[in-house]
Amino acid sequence: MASLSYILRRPEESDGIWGWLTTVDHKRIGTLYMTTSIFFFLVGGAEAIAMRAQLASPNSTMISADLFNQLFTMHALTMIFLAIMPMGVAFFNWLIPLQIGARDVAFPRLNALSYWVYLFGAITLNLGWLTANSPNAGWFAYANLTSIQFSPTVGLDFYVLGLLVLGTSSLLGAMNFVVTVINLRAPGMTLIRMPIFTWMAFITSILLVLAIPVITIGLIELGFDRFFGTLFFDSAAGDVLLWQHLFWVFGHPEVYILILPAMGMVSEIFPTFARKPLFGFPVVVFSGIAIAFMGWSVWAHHMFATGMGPVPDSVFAATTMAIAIPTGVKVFNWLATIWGGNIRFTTSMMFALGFIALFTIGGLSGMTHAAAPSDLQQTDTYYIVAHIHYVLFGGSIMAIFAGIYYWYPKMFGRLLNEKLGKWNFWLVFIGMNMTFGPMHYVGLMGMPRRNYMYPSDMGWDFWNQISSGGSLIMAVGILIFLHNFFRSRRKGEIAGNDPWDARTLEWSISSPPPHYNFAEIPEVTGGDAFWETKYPGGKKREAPVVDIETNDIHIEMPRPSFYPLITAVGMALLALTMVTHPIVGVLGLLTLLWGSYGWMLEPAE
Amino acid sequence: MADGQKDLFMLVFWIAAIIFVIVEALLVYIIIRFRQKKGQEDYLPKATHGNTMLEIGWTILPVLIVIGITIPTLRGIAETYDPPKEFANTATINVEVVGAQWWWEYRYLDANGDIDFVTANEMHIPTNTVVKLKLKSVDVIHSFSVPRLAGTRDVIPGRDNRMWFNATEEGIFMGQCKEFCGASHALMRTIVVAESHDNYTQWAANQRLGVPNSYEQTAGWNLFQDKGCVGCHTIRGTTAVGDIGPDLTHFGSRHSIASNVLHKGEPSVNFVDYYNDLERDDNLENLKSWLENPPAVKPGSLMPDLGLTDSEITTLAEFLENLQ
Amino acid sequence: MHEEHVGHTTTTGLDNRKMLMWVFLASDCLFFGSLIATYMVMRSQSVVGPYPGDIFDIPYTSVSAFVLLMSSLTMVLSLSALQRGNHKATRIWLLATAVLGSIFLGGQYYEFTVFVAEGLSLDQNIFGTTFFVLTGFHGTHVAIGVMMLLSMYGASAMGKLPTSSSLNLELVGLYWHFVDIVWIVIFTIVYLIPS
Repeated sequence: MASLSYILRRPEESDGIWGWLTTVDHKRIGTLYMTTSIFFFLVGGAEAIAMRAQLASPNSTMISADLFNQLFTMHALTMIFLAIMPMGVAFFNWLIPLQIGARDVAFPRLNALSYWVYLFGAITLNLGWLTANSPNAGWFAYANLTSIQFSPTVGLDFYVLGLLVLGTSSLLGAMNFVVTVINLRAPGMTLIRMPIFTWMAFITSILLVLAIPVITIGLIELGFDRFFGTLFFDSAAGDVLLWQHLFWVFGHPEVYILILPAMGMVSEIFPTFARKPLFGFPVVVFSGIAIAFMGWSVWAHHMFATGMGPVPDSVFAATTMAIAIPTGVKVFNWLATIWGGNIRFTTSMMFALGFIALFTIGGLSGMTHAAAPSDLQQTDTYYIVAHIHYVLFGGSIMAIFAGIYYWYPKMFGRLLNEKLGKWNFWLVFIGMNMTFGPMHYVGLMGMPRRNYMYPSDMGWDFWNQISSGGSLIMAVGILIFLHNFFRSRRKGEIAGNDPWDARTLEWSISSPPPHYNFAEIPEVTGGDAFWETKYPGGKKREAPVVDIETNDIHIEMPRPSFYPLITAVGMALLALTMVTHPIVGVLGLLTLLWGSYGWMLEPAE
Repeated sequence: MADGQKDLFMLVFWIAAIIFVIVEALLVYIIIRFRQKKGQEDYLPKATHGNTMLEIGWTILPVLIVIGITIPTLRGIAETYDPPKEFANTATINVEVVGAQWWWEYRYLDANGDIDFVTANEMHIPTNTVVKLKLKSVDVIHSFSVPRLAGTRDVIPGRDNRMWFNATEEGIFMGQCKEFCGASHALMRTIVVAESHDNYTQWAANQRLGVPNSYEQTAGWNLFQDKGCVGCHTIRGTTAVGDIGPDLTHFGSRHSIASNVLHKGEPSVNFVDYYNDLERDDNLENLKSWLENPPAVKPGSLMPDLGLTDSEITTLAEFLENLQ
Repeated sequence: MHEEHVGHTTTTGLDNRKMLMWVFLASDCLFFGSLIATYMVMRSQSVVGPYPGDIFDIPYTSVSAFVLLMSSLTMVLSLSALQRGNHKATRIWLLATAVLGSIFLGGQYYEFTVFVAEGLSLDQNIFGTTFFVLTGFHGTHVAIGVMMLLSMYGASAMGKLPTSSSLNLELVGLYWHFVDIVWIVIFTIVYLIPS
């Protein structure tokens, strides 16, 4: 029985570790993404706490300059690429098929591959910690500080290789989701009837497909400069500024990649907890499209200080101002959604409301940066750090918390504890404002960013102490969240199909959903498809909607496969060649070929 | 330039503040007015799907606000490169700023654009004079920034950039590199001393002079040679012509050490107090701790720990302080 | 190879895999676009030679471009043969495509050795850097394409490429034509347009 063909057979559904390693089920893959990204969120948080400890007092010698430079670099890389983006993908994985009435994504094995490549990329990026040589030139890694001449240690090699691997993961996932949204919608679900979260996920995925190749090229060029002596970013023979352009052409769409899923989540949550539909649905969709489109035209507002000249400065200032408009329109539509509503203050709703409050602040400070001359005072100070964290923490992370409290019951069958949730919310909300609020002030008072220490009596001491104190309060709130997350898996109140009386299709099936999602693919006749079946004509249906519960239903679903994992290992080994030995590359190539051919040749689903 | 930037900022800030108050107030109002009341769990509010007039309104209003902010913004941009017309008849001096890891060289140019004299880390300017800066880098990207005089402008290897400022009153203005440039980015500082026209002229005249020959007879000079300092530093009037580190010809007349990482006052005094009261006597403690172990003071510093004994340190410190 | 899923309906009617290939090609457009943009931004910036005018042999490169173009023709013929059920012709045209692609690659290799001998290397000047990285990545794409063509050949020879699976060949064809079009763009911008 132990023949080669048996060993290499496509596994049947299995439990335990092997089941998780070979899963191609979008729900399991979503859970993998979620738990891994929560882990890295904590890693990034620890890096932040370390920095705040150092900056709590002036002239501190607690953390060396080099370690601090590694910390601020890794904190940003971890939060952006290993926490927020994968958490978004966790939700894309869980929700897109459920919201469009599909059984899985278009390419289940490709989906699994995306996760494993993410995991290996995350590990590659963090390998530097083993020798205290993590990337240390900032997450934006400006040339030519990143050249071999000025950064001879291996840290930046991990930067290049880690991000190349992570970019591959994002790209593969995004391609999968684009095809899924276009091609796997339930009958009757035209694009305008598609839920708003899926819309934002779709737009985000298109942005990824177009933006990731640009940073890939930037990283390849940096890698070639470091490994093969090319001259792309050489100050004499090449152009140092070329890196900044390539980086920010990716980097600006990237921030919309970070915020659009969050906007999608709160756009689902407000209607549920206000018991009214999203106000101006087509306008909210169109604003998302406008933001994605216009986001390509603003990149050099990150480069106002580089001296491009008055004309480029003016163009980018104008386009940056313009992008405030669709963003503002969304905020007004959210407010109009909850206006006149019947508002329930669940933890999820509180996080969503907190999102509006805090993201607005971040957006408004962004407007002040768009005024290019004034930005020359703000750039590279803590004022920018304040902006970043109000939009990314106050925006993306608050919305992610809202999303977790909202969809956790669907994923795990149990509700998160509301009391712990309220503690979670208030500590994080208060802590966040305490930490990042004062940064607006110290930044305008001149405190530069990316400094491992600051002199005393510049007027910054007191506010830095407040910031550091706030970070500890946030940390406690997040620990409470963790406790809630793990405790509720076993002890949470059973959720049932539809604990929130919600509006979209994922709530029409059990929690957690059966392996095949829908016993019968639904026929959709309008937006908010599920709501219409519960409240036809706006009145509650007499008999409750019966879910076709099923133990006798047997629906063929794609079988697990270990080739995605093998292919991912091959990719990781290939990436690591440059910092190890050519034999690793050969091994990687062979593994990649084994994975790819095995994948193509294994028996169909 | 800084004043114009502040005015623009205040304009945008107040508009943003008004929008902030409106949005947050609306949010709070909604939370209070429309919260679920007891017994109302099943109440279904009117399912309004949208309102075209509102959408048009709250699109047009932001457009108008944005246009209102963009116009002064665009007007201010040219000014961040070159002085506006009203300064056409103001006296001008030209200085080349060269950024290096982790210090600043200042090359004052004469009327023909040739180098008049070179100094480091401390720039003197006359008040009410346009100071035009040409910005260069010899290694990585830095950013020259003296916030109270002007915003920041990057210093990029392979490209020249320009900025200008104009001090309307006397004083000492602290600045710092703003673009992350490696280990001691946080310690790449500078000071700009704005003084009266006469004081500036006197300062510049002194800067042009090399040191007298008698310096080469001192014990300090012997050490300066023996320990290899001449390989990196220039002291005009001597045989020291190294150009890797700062020009030290008039080091003694400067107020700070190693690009304002340390000042020349008592170690326990902070920068703000020190610069507010320069009448205090100079104190050699900080200079000695620099000479004792530069990388300990400034991580990554190219100036190594020379392994000097205490008496060597004292001799050198006194020698350097005498370079007035 | 996978059998076609009969009756596996999609919202647009287009097969998922074909759509995936188009989405991938969109991302590859940005990939090559960024490399080409880098080349264009830096053209005429070389501080030292050799410069493009010094070493390009336009007639030679035109021939190799023509070879690649012809390979797109044979690719189309291969797919057409498969769709008509003529498996022998499928294989002949597949092999022809792979051979033409390999000739193109061989031509690239020879051309590069000549350039290197004339002093242009990856690190000689920015022209060398941008030129070799751009064409190198294109060549890698071609090489992967040749591998896919040979795999298709092998599958057909083993009877594992029936007409009902012609989509698989069509996908390889789409990729191959894309790589060819990228070369047309590179040839025009890098070789033909004087700097």
